[in-house]
Amino acid sequence: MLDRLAERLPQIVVAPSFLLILVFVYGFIIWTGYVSFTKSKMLPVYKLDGLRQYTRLFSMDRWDVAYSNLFVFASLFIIVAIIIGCLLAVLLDQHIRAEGALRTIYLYPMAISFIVTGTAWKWMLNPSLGLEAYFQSLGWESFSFNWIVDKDMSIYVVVIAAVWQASGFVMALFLSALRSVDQEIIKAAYLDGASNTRIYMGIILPSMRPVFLSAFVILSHLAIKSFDLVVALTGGGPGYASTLPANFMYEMTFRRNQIGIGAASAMMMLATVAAIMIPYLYSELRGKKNG
Amino acid sequence: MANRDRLPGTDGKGRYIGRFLIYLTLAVFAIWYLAPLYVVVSTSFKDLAEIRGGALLSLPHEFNVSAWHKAWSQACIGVECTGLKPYFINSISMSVPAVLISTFLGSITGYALTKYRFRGANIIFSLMLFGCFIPFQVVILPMAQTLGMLGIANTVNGLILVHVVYGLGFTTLFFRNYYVSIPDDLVKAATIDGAGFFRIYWRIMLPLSPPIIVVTIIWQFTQIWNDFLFGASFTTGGAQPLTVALNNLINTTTGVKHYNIDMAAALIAAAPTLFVYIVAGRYFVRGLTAGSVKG
Amino acid sequence: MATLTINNAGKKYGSVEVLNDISMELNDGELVVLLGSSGCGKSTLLNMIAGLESISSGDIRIDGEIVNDIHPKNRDIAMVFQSYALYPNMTVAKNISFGLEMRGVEKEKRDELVNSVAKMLQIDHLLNRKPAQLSGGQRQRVAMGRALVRRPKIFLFDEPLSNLDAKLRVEMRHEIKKLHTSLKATMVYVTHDQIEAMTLADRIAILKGGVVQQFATPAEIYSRPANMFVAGFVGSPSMNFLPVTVAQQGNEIGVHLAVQYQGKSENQFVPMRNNDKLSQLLGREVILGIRPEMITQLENAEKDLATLHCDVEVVEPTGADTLCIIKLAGKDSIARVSPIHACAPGESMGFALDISRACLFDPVTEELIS
Ligand SMILES: Nc1ncnc2c1ncn2[C@@H]1O[C@H](COP(=O)(O)OP(=O)(O)OP(=O)(O)O)[C@@H](O)[C@H]1O
Ligand SMILES: [Mg+2]
Repeated sequence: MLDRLAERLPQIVVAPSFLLILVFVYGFIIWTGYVSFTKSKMLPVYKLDGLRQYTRLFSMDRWDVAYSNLFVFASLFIIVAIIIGCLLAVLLDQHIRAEGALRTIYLYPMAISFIVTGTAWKWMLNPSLGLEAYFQSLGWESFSFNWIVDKDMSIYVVVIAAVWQASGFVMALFLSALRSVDQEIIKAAYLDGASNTRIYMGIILPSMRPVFLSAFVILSHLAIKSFDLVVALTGGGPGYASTLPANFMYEMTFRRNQIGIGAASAMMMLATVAAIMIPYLYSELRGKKNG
Repeated sequence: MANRDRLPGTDGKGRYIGRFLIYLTLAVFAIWYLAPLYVVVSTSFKDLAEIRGGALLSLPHEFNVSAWHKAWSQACIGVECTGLKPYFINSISMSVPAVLISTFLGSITGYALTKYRFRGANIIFSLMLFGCFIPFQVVILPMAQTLGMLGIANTVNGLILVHVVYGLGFTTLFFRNYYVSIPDDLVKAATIDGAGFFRIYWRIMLPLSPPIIVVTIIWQFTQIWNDFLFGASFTTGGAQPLTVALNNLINTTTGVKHYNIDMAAALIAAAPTLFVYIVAGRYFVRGLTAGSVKG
Repeated sequence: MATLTINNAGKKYGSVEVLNDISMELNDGELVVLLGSSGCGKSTLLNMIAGLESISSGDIRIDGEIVNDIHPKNRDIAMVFQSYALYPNMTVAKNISFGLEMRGVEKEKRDELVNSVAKMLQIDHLLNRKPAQLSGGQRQRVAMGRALVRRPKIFLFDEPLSNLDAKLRVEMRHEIKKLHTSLKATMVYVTHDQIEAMTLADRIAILKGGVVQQFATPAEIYSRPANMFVAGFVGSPSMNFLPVTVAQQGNEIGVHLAVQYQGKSENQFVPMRNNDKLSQLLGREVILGIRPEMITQLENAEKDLATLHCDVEVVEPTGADTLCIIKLAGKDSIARVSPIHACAPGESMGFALDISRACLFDPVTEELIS
């Protein structure tokens, strides 16, 4: 009898955590999905209303801007962060004297909140007292960098700050992968007479495909969730020129009492994430089983 | 690690120019990463007149710590002019329990999932793992309702619950990946020796876990301390965590802008996680890479 | 001291059948070796005896009592793992006493027991070290100590020596044998090393694909292997298998062996004794199983052995003996001769065949024809 109970202990112990996740993640997703098909405004109502919230959502210019911003932001952010991170990792791998210190410097932004990052960059880039004013006061009258208040350019400011924050992380990821590449292969390539550049471009980087994939997935996940950075840096402005879907959702749900549209936009975000994450997680779990 | 430098590389002058370019690039990037920190720190020690003078990149004429004082205990956030202090305390009393609870739950769940592969363990793990990667926007609405129903809306306790729940996936992932590398035979041997589930956990698994406990605690602390979305969605006024208060402070539009106070406030908000990063950077990096290379 | 009975035990993982209808009975104080190649289910069976894996069908009894549903800790068994599974966070003394502590033995009593076991295994000077600070052989001893200290009814060993180097393995083998002799405990010992099995076992159970092929004493397994798998698995170098036809020449029954002699193929008749049984096989194709030491040099061999002359293709000196590879019945076969008598490769020499100790197998079922 007691033995029976003891046998069930692992399940009993896992149960609370699993139930929490089941309710608070999957239950809530279903709830949000349901609400997105209702007329909910300030308070949730539970009478189904078809796809109306989605039609409304897609007809809003604000959502259009937010969703296309997401693609501009995400693709630039991911590409630039991977290029910079990769470059820094390769350079740091050249027996650099102050490697430890440099690594610390490159990575520290990752420890900071996006709100702080946004505050810092907002201050540096504000046209009246920031870098622009500084360079002009030094006599470089024509210097102009007012992207943060330019409605066509403000989303790129978000990209700059996000790259600043996350590229060090990509560097760390790549550096640890570089360090675990089989040294014998590299020695063999040297003996074959390949140059340093050739070895990196032809052998090492291609062998790091999985790391590129991880970096891509993590960064795109960060990009889709990006919310705080926009809040602190541009406030979504000027106007709503630099909003991202996450900001849109927050605005609709908490400021404008449009719970239905908020829910619909959240579901769109979930669909976007799922399109990237599910194949990735699936292959990761599969690979583990076979490996 | 490698003795690649002993292998024949490029020769002579080309080599020196190459080395120089490498160091130059690295230095330029170092400046880029450090510039915002430098500007923020130096601004926080300047007085308003000096800031208006526009010399963004110059050092302060004299070190003036009054902005720090004000940010800590006098600055107005909304209508309350209490400084950041109460919010700092909020953040502490939110993060510490949330970190400890989620770490503990993750560790015992990870242990049960790896060392007792009961039917469905893999599915449970996959579901928990995917839970880490949802955009939280999709749970905010029902969470707000639930917190209200539980009577912990707009409280630090409510935020603790939220952070425990949504941190569980990651902490379980960390511990699972760590425990997978501990041989099953250890658990079998202990079972034969007569130890049960909890005794094996307590006497054998936990004593082997300090490295991953440190990694998890640092990861969770950074995540929870830096969170803004949950804080902004579920709290207002006196229950806000530090990040939310900081954002309110900075985006207050009434009155004169005190940039020095803003910057000091930002530094106060960043200080704990930066401190952890500098003290335990090695574990911090390990957490980042562990969180990214999954399975 | 205990008996262990396994009745028709089976194990399935989902639809995969790993063990099938295993039955064996261990007498009190017997050391039985489970021998088989990798993946044949040895560890699974051992884990089932220990209670670490459930039993899908059949039952396992200790001292006549069914233990299928009894928790490992209540079965009074101890197990030594291939990886030793020492608790890395505990000292050697703690490792050894952990099981006692879990059973509520008092501190003084524990220390006393640990000390006596440590002395017996000559690890008393290591008691305060952590496992990471021990050599492979020392870890092995600690793992043994952990099992011994509880004086369990049954000891289970899962390839306990396979992580040691060759020399240490031989030493530890002797120690385990000594231990068994002095403790007179019932032991189940898993290995895939046939020498270990032959030297240690009272009886050997040979497993293949989850089925027991033969359960018998080492001597019987060596001389009367139940089938060709067992015959090939035990003994090094392996038994030679020669496809032959039983024939009659004059009033003798025997087999024709094709041999290569001075570059030409010749057919030699080798008469066999045991005429009455053999006569039933007349004209049938059989597999003649003959161990290398049954083919030896003509010199100082017993008088009444069959003889044959053939070319030696390869010569492999192993020290005590020299192995000669010759063609018999179209197969490369190994003969074991004394180094003084071995010829050079390419030359031919005479061999004596101790065919009375050879075995005959059915070519279809591969079973022994008695
Ligand atoms: N959990 C499991 N699920 C499915 N099949 C399993 C499981 N555990 C073991 N097996 C299979 O059962 C068979 C027997 O495994 P077992 O570990 O008993 O082999 P073994 O004889 O001890 O081999 P070795 O000498 O390599 O230790 C193997 O084919 C293995 O693949
Ligand atoms: Mg095994």
